[in-house]
Amino acid sequence: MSRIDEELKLAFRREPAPSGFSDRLMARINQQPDPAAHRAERRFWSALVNLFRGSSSRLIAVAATALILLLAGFAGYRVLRQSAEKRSTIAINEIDVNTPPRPADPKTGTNQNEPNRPGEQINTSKFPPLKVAAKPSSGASSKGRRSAAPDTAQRERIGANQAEAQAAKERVLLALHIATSTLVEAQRMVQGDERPSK
Amino acid sequence: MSSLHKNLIRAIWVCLVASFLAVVTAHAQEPRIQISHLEKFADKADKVIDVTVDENIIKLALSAFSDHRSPDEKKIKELLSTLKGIYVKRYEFETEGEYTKDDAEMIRSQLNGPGWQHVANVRSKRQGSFEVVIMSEGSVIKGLAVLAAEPKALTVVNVVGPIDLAKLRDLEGKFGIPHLGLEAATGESKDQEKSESKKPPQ
Repeated sequence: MSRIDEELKLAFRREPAPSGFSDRLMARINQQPDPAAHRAERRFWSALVNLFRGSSSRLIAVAATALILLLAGFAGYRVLRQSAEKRSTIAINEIDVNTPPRPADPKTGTNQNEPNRPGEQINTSKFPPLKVAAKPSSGASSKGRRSAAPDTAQRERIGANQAEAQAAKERVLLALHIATSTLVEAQRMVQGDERPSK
Repeated sequence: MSSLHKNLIRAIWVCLVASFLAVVTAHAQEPRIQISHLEKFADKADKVIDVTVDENIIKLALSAFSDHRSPDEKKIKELLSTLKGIYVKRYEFETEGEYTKDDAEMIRSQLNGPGWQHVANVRSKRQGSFEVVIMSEGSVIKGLAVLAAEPKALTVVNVVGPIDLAKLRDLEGKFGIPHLGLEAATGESKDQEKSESKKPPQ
């Protein structure tokens, strides 16, 4: 017999179970599930159901809390929205609404403000990056500082804002042009005109 | 902890869950579609047109239009003032099959979602498929989307916000807006305007 056989025999030799082992095992198998754990699971749902049962005063309290929370949430949302709108309108208000008409393009001789001629395409090459002007700080608007501030800086700022607004305008018009052109393309397809349009 | 306190906490939880569900439902009805996954074609495509115009840019652009300069500017200002965004993505490829069906399907599944109504749906083997969908509330168009899946190009247009078709019709042929043939749809108002203009001043 080899050494491995001997070692295996030793490892798998029959050993008597400790006293009371089978009793403990059977007791554990027969043990009922803990009712406390089951109760804890059901507690949440029953509590949720009980919330809407019972006395009218409780119902009123729940409804009032819900209403207060909803109103608070709505008010918070409005405040956030208003502050965001205020920030953007302040940036826009700095720009003079009555901007002078753009000079005619020296190459084409066209004016951006004029209606486009049939077949005319908007230039889709490059668009200057857009930056929304930051909200001016309240500390900088003191009377003394304003009088000391040079007009040229303010003019430059307004000029920059106008340029940004102009860039935004071109971008919006380009988006509108592409959107409507795609719609026309789709319309052609619907009408069965499959001629290439470009 | 008193029972009132417990009930209060439960009520807060119920409200939070209800608010979350309400927000999720409201968001699902938004006419904005997600097209950011198409940006992966930017390197592959031969030509890319990617124009993103959000509410802030529209507000900024509105300041560059003047009500007094011309009536058309006033009209386009009014048209744009209601919009919340215009999103355009167009990818043109050199060869066919650069984008998969799944890429277009990801957008199509959004357009088949709640709130969207198909206005036109054309499929051609040679020219691909064109889908025009709108989201409306009563007679007001809340948003519009176009998906053009051509063999060598993929275009998605999403206009978010109320679109005044009568004003759009008036601006046909101006500001780069092509002729959309909206006369038939809004012909009544145009005739009305004509008859009003013919009336002698009192």
